[in-house]
Amino acid sequence: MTRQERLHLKNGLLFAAPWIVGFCVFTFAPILASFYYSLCSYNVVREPIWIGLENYRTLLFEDPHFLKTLYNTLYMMVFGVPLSLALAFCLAALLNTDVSFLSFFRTVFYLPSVVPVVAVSILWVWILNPEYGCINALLASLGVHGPGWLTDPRWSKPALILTNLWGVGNIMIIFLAGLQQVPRSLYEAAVVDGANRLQRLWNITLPCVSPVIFFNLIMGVIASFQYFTQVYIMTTGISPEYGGRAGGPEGSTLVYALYLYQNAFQHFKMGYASAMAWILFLLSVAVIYVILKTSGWVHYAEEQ
Amino acid sequence: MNGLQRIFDTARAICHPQIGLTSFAILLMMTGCGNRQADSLIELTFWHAWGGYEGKYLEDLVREFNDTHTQIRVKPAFFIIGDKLMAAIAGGIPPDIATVWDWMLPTMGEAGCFLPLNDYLQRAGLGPEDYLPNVWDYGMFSEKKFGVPTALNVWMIFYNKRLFTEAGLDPKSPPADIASLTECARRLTRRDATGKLERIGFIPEFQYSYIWMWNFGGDLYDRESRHFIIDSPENVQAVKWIASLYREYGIDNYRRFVATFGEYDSPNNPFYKEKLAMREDGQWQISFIRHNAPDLDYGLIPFVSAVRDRESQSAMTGSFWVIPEGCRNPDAAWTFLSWLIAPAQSARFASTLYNVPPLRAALNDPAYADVYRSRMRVFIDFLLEGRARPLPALPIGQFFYNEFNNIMEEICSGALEPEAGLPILDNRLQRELDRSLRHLGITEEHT
Repeated sequence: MTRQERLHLKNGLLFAAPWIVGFCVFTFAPILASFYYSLCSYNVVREPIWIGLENYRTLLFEDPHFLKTLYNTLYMMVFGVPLSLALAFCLAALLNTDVSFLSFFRTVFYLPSVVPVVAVSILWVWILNPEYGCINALLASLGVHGPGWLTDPRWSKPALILTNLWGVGNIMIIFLAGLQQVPRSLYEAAVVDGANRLQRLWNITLPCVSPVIFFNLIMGVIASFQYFTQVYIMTTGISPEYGGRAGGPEGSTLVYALYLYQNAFQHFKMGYASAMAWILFLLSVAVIYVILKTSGWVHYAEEQ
Repeated sequence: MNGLQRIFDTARAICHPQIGLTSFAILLMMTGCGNRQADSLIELTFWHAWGGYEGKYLEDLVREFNDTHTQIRVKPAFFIIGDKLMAAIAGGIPPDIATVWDWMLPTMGEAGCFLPLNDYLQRAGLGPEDYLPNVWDYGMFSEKKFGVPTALNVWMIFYNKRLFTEAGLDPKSPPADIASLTECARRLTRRDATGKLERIGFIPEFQYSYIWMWNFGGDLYDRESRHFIIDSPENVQAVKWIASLYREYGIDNYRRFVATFGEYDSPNNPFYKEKLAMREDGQWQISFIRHNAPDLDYGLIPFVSAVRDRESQSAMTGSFWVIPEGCRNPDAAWTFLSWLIAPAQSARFASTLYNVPPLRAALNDPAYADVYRSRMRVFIDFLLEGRARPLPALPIGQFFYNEFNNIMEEICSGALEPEAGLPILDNRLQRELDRSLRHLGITEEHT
């Protein structure tokens, strides 16, 4: 390393130092600490007591809610992520055409993402109200007897997915940027070759934006592992005086992160919650690994 | 680059021995000043949980304390009881006095969050006989008293007299046994042509179903042996009866109906709107009804016993004042607390809230006389007879609450039968309690 390079490295590190220090103190150290706590009985106030693998053993083999929370989380992921990707892609494709008032429509569809998530959640509690909500009113006008949504264990998860679909604006914007990167020359060549709209979509658009789909897929999967705010707000807020509780009805919306929160901050079992967090981390790593290994469908510009 | 150079220069200047030392000395002097001031005046933060006019009244009381105590200045602040307190204690900057719900007291107390007040209470000469029945042991798991009760709530069944008359029932003789309660509930329930519920006669809310377990002769927990006894035949009977009501209404129907209920503390409360003809509720409703539905003609049923020749029982609930671990001035905090819970103050506070003051002496305080003469009398007498009692104090309070409701909900919705559900609940709670005691290191003393 030359003198000049050393100087650059030093300056570079110096400039990155605030972040490096912040990351180590506020992110990396707590992550390491959480691993230690996961092997302890720890209630935050008292000193942690070493109990080895007991937290993990209890969680995996004894906890009656573990599998249920995992199922609820995976349900939200398996149905929620593809749906929101598909919707965002369709919206982006529509907003990538030459309609009038284009920027107006783009703003309108992006707008819900700007509203704070807590406000959106409270709003949707009302939209989904089985008797007074506008969705069931709409269904009733079509002659359909709407479901109980958040009050019905069979419909509570679909109701939450529906709520999430309202906020696809962020994904849509990324898709829109991706769609605008697709070279016009490819479409022109395809039109000359006589390809119809569907063929152009399948053979040009999708492969070209596949890295964007892939990115959104990974982000969506990670987000659904961490899914918490909406479900916490929406299931606590329905009718606390009449037994409405976070994760209800009948535990049908008790997602992993919510159960983790309950253990950490309501049952004061921070060690147990840390163990849950590590299991969640390993699970996300496994799922992301599988997605990466099966990403043959993603095309990068250099390969073409 | 120039600006950057200036920053580096400033940094160097701070590190420079002379300049650095001077500023350090200034800092020291400043903190010194602060200390001198603190010697004469102790400032205490008091986190309370009452908003609106109740909070205003409590803060008036605090102002009165500040005016009469020159050494201590209490700063009240409203907070919503929850994670925030735990975070403040864990972070080492707790308020000096805080408020917690009853089920949190033994859980957080045994976890090391609060200072035991036994010595203070003893020095103040307060003992079991000074309190209303069942209040001394309230919130106490081990022998440690981690808090003092703020004001007490008692539960009863409120019923709408007009609806009784309308359904051809005598509002002067409300149901006195389970069979007639069930029959009344049936006759008061109304459905529209499609079978949708328009009014529910009576539905025990499953989070309070332990009151019915008591009234069927069962109990939840044996304090001596530290064992749950939830799966007893009496409790199974109680839960069977509760579940039968839910199944009669239909759980889907019921949930849709509940979704139409208006806000609790508003004129849209379903009881005022005649959506519920009878309802379990706390004594504060007397004051709520006066504000929100002054024309409502209602009566009170002090629950109903299913056991022959045994008086009915009800629940006592409430909150506690605590001195968190890490409080810098526990003696001053206690000075304030002992003033606040003294009969004169307690009577005034409880009368504003329409709660019951925990100390016997406060009941006879002139400040409480008006309330005592009102319909509150039924509740107070009930308490004095020892018929109202709290949930068992457990170091796993929130866990108990969550699991109890989970299982009760599954039973009421028909996913589980009472005979199967209660043993599951008993097992889960026992396992968690044993684990918690082991981790807290309090198993050995008692086995």
